[in-house]
Amino acid sequence: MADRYWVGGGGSTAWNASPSNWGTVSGGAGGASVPTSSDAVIFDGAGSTGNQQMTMVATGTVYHF
Amino acid sequence: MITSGYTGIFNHGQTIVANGNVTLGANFVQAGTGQLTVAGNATLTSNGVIWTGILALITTNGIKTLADDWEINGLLNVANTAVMNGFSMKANGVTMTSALTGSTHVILKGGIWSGTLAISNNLTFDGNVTISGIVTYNTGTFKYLSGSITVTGSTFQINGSCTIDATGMTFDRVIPILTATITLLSKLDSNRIESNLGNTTFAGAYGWECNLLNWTFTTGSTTIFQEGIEYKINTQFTCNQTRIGATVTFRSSSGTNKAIITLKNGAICSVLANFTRIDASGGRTITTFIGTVTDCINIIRYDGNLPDNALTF
Repeated sequence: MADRYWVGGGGSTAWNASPSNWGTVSGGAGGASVPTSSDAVIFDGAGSTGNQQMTMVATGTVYHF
Repeated sequence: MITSGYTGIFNHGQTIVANGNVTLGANFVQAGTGQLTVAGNATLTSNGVIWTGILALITTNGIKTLADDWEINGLLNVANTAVMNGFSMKANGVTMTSALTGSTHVILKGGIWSGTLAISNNLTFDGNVTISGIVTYNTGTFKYLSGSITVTGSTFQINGSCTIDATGMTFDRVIPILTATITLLSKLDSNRIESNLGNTTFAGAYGWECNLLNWTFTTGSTTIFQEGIEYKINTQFTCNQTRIGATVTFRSSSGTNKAIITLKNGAICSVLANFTRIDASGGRTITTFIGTVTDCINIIRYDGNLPDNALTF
């Protein structure tokens, strides 16, 4: 299981639109993969764009939410 | 996990499936009515946040443990057989595609209760709830607290020993479908009470009132009424499927004291049954065409010259 932090900053706020929205550490850089069913997803607002809105535009499956 | 540090908008217009624990951060902002689907075994923590969408429980026999009280604005969808333990789950309706057990107190603040699979958790109506079609309640305590309850055409099945405290609402149809003890903490009102399987024991300090009591057993069965408690039938008492063979018995819970069955004056009586320690003095005479009448008041066995197929006075 890997951690996926919502860090925002991508061109789209959609959950699955861009790896740019996802990081591997709190407040870190984007570029991690969009979370999958084996990932824990964390929204903690850290970083300059970590509080950006997130929009579920398709079903997303994660391990921990 | 959504921590309290996240102050953005979590817009869940679509489903999010969690294959494990779910934690909602305190005071986080949501939009949408999407579905949160929880698979497998999971601990669910709301931190006081109301999930604004649906909550679905999937994965057969998955154990969901609530770490605190939950409230959702959508319905609770029990899609696979689930156990839900701890605290309370307040929902806007429940769909019982599969059975739900566990210690979580389920509270319906509105919405529709539908689906035939049983709820065994404590269940409270606290809002305007519609019972749709056949629903099933198992062990636990069912309580009516408030709200306008719509029951037209619905059936409340009871398939396990349970406690009911539902004064203030009226069921359309109540059916004990398996042997069970039904403990009444307040008077139960129903348009119809019917059964054709199992032995039913009515216990507790209160009775019930119905328009039709319809026992359609084709085999022997015993129905026990709490001594000293009154059960009222206003329109029709029917128990006439056992002319040959085993007979249905209605009796008091006590070996000495009577229970009270009041068949309203003018009501139809169509009964083939045994009666033991039943006081029917508050209404019309109950007449049975077969069986024995033991230590009863205002109940007679008719031995007159009626046609063989006579069933109704």
